[in-house]
Amino acid sequence: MTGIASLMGSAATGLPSLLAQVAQAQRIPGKIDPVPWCPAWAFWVLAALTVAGALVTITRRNLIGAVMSLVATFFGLASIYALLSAHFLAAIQVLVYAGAIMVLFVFVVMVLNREEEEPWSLRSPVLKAFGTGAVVYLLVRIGELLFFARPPLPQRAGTPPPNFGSVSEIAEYFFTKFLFPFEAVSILLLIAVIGAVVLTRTVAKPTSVHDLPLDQQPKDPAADEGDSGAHAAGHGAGGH
Amino acid sequence: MLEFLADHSAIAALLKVFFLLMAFVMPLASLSTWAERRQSAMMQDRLGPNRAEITIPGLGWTLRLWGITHFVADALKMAFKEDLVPSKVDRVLYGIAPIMAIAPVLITFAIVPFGSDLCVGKMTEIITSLEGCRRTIPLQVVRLDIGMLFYFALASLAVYGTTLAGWSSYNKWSLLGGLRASSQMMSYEVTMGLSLMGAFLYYGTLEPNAMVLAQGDNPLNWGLFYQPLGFILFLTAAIAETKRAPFDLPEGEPELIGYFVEYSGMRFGIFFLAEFIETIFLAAIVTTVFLGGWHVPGLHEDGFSFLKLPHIAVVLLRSAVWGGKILFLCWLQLLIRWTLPRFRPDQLMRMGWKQLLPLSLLNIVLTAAWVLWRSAH
Repeated sequence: MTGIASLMGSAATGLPSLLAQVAQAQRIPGKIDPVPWCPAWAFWVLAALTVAGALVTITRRNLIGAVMSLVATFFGLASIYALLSAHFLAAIQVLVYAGAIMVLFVFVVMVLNREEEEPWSLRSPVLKAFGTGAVVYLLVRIGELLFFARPPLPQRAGTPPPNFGSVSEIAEYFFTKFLFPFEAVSILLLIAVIGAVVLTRTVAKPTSVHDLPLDQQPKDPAADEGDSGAHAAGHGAGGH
Repeated sequence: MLEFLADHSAIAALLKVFFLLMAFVMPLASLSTWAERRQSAMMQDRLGPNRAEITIPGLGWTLRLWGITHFVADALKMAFKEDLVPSKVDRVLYGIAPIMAIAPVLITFAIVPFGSDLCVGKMTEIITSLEGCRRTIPLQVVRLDIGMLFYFALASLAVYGTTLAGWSSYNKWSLLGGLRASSQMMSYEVTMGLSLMGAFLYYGTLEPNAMVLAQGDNPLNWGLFYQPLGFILFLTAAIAETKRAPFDLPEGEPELIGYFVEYSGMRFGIFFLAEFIETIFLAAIVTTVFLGGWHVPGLHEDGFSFLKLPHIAVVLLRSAVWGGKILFLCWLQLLIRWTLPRFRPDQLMRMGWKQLLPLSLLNIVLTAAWVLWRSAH
């Protein structure tokens, strides 16, 4: 239930704020408002949504519910990107993570359609100890960050430059300064795609006579009736 | 009034949303439900729905209009039908699935430019360009730098509506329909995105209104003639995304009935309406990218070369022609829907991955080479 509540929360809060943000960033020369419009409450609502969605994802037994709350988390993240004027990143976050990868997750869960059962990781005492240790370490680090070391934060980051986060700006970085990592990632993805194809490829074995090429298929006996007996006998001996 | 709207863009945006959805998209979607059945009847030599009529009480005068009021009768029937929820459904997901099917497509209308910019204060004058305008009101809800990416991002979320409807209904046919829908939409989304890349390269922008401006009022400069392959690929992939025939495998009536088989009344009505809104949105995108958007052939900012028109008349004419282009493309989609038979699942997958996808990649390479050659000369 909570997963769905957070999902609906994302639809109710994330989207209008995303829309408002992008509406604010309408790039009309001479019309744009130079004052950055970023209400603090929008950030806190979206941050709460993101964290709540993540918590629901790891606590929920129902797989589809968990996946949908992860979608809500991604949506919250995308909205936070939009608040930070990174509209391109926000769109890509929704497109790739919420729209493509999670749809694949839902698809796989639906195909498997497994009954809800106890997660395997809770059975082994070794894994339990490992998990407890990890949680304690995380809590210690968070406490350290919150209560001890507090570096002075800049009060105001300042207005981003007018082209910040736009598609052309990002494209320029990709094709000049970060060209090599960009192309390297594309080659990495290509290798992954080819690897996936090789792994799933099976050598084509004809499972039925109808899959054979036409000249190798056995003739339909009904069509042979009009032929001479010698021909039909020869065919029967060789073909069947 | 217009000055006030020019200064308060948020209120203007709300008004534009209201106009676009309530005065254009929703009525057109409702009418297409009637038009589809009527057109199919004409194509199959039947009469179709022609009986709904309105009787005006005082005059005793009956208004039939070829049964055009059938959509009102349908809406009333759906609203008053019993809202039947099967006992074993996942209630929450079952409830939000129709919303997740219709919300993304309604939101994406935000980026569609439905007219040229209004020049506030010079409405009745003949102007030659918008340069001298101090304040303008764009006839587009938001003008985003990421433009079409916003559409792709939200379109990719539309899969959840059908998939969740299929899964949450606790019905084998629904589940199969949902599976078919998700695999089909995932496959054709790739081609849909890649087939527009050529157009992005050609226009050098992702912003829909900038694309319309780049095409100009000469029909020979419209995207259709520079991206013919992209046009065909996008239209095919986008029709597959709307899940209408010949791509209606998720709701193939003789085999599955559909992912919404357990839905009744208005919940089913929302799925039904979402499909027609998707066809209208597809028409709007095709108009924007390939058919010159709101441009009217030969109509400049100051009117035709033989007839000068005031600014307000130019803007109104452009919006009207924009609507006409959308009506034409909706009609074309209905025609395709009643002409082609349904694909088999293996044909569908083969076409998506082995034919359309390589062709869309080829389109990108060819367009990139051409853009490079053009910039060198």
